[in-house]
Amino acid sequence: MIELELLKTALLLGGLILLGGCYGILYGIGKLANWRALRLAGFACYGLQCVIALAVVGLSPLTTPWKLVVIIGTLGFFGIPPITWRFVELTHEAEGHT
Amino acid sequence: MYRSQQLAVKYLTAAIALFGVMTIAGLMSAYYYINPNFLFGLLDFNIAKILHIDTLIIWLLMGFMGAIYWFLPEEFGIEIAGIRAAEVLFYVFCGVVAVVAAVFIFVQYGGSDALGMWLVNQGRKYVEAPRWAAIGVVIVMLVFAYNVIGTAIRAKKMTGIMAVLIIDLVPLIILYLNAFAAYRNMSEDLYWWWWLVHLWVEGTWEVLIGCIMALALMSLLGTSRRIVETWLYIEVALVMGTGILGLGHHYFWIGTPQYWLAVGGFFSAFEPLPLLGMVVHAVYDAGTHRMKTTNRPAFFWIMAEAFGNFIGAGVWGFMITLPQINLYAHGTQWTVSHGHFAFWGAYACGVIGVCYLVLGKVRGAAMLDGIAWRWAFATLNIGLIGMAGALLISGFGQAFVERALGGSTLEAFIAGQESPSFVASMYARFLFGLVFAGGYVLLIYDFVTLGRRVPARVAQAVAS
Repeated sequence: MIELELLKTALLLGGLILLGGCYGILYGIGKLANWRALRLAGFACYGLQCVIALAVVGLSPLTTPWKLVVIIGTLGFFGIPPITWRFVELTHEAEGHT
Repeated sequence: MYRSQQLAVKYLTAAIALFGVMTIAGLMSAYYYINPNFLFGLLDFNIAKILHIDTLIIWLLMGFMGAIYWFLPEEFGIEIAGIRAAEVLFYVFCGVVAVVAAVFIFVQYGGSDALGMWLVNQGRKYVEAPRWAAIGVVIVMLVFAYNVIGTAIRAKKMTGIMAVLIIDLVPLIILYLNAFAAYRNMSEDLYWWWWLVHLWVEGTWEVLIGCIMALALMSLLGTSRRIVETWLYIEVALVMGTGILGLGHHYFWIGTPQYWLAVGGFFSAFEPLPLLGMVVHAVYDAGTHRMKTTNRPAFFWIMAEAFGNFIGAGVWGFMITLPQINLYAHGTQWTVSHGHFAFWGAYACGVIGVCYLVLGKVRGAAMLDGIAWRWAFATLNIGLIGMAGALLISGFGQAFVERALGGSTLEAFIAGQESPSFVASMYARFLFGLVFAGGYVLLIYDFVTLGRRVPARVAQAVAS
């Protein structure tokens, strides 16, 4: 039944963003503590996020344009933590903050 | 302390008092779901709900104004322009809020005519306040704008944060004028009403809290102006870039043209991305300062703002933002869950953080810490997460039973309301509401006593 599939998709989408948040947090803490395992755990979260995105593409009744939006959004998530981190470091370094 | 800062303390005090009224009205609203006969005929559910959501708007607005009145003289180095008018209007504002609340509680209903709209209730969610009171709000906001702009002119100085704030005040006031509209066509009415509700909450308020957080971070952590201003510009660009047309996610099922499905869904889908950037930045700030600050409660509440915003607006919002899913989820407790979490994360945590920051300065405490604020922080957040979780489960049950299985008939609506998941969740929501209310009491205790209590370690050192 397509309605029930859509409701399951909603939970998948929530999980998708939540894992993106876990990726960002673990990546950040890993960088701060210079702890490689945490950064890897962050990337693992991103990997799970990709799996969920693929599940949405493969299993959900969303139409193709919406699946594309989910894929583009998931790809966007990958770049945000490292780019943000680098930018924050640069702005702080430029101002003499550590 | 500047007079403007004394006024800020009054505004923040009034905001926290209204936060309490909102909590009580929310508890009542939650209890009606368990016992529909509660206060039947005396104070029905709709009145409690009006009090709950209207005080939410007003306490946050007063909190924002208090924060700006606090930082404004520090930013410009002079007393604000029009301070006398601002002081008088504070009491007018409080008086108006009290009278409107009394009208809602004791008069409750007006006729469906102009007189009813002018004196009792305009009948539009979040902006129910009668027209005379809405005119009062416009006057207060205009004087507030004059305070900000006039001070910048008098000081012959402009900072990046203040420029963003001044630009933001224009749509903030203009959009509120929408509160006066009275359309006979419901689709037309909702179309413009969302301009007010969405573009305030996901547009102008986001910018306003961004300015306040920028000022708070400079004051709390000594972060340089260049850093906070750079981030403010980026945040404003990203939030407005996705948020303005994200307005479309409210236009899905209210009789607007079909293209809003694509526009609203597309832009809303990217709204979590800037929020993730804020989370990463918060982790950086928390880490570089090693959670060490002279004002720990303010620091923790401001950090909670970034995380709560991401989860409440980002995670909860994304679940229901695509039009196909929203068809089943809109108007259920699922939306209510998102609303609770998003308002809490995006705004309430920030305002509470500013309250602690101001308290630290007012009490002249070299170090603000203790146990009470931790308990308040924990219980308020656990209560809120519990409520949002219970509402999510009940909303999912509603979407499942009433919308997906039942086809949105009246019979299906009743079946949804009576489903075990819905009923159990309503009890859970009320219980977590009580936890939240307990957290509010602890917060008040901490506000009253913080900086006046002697920390245990200090007392021990003195004794030895």
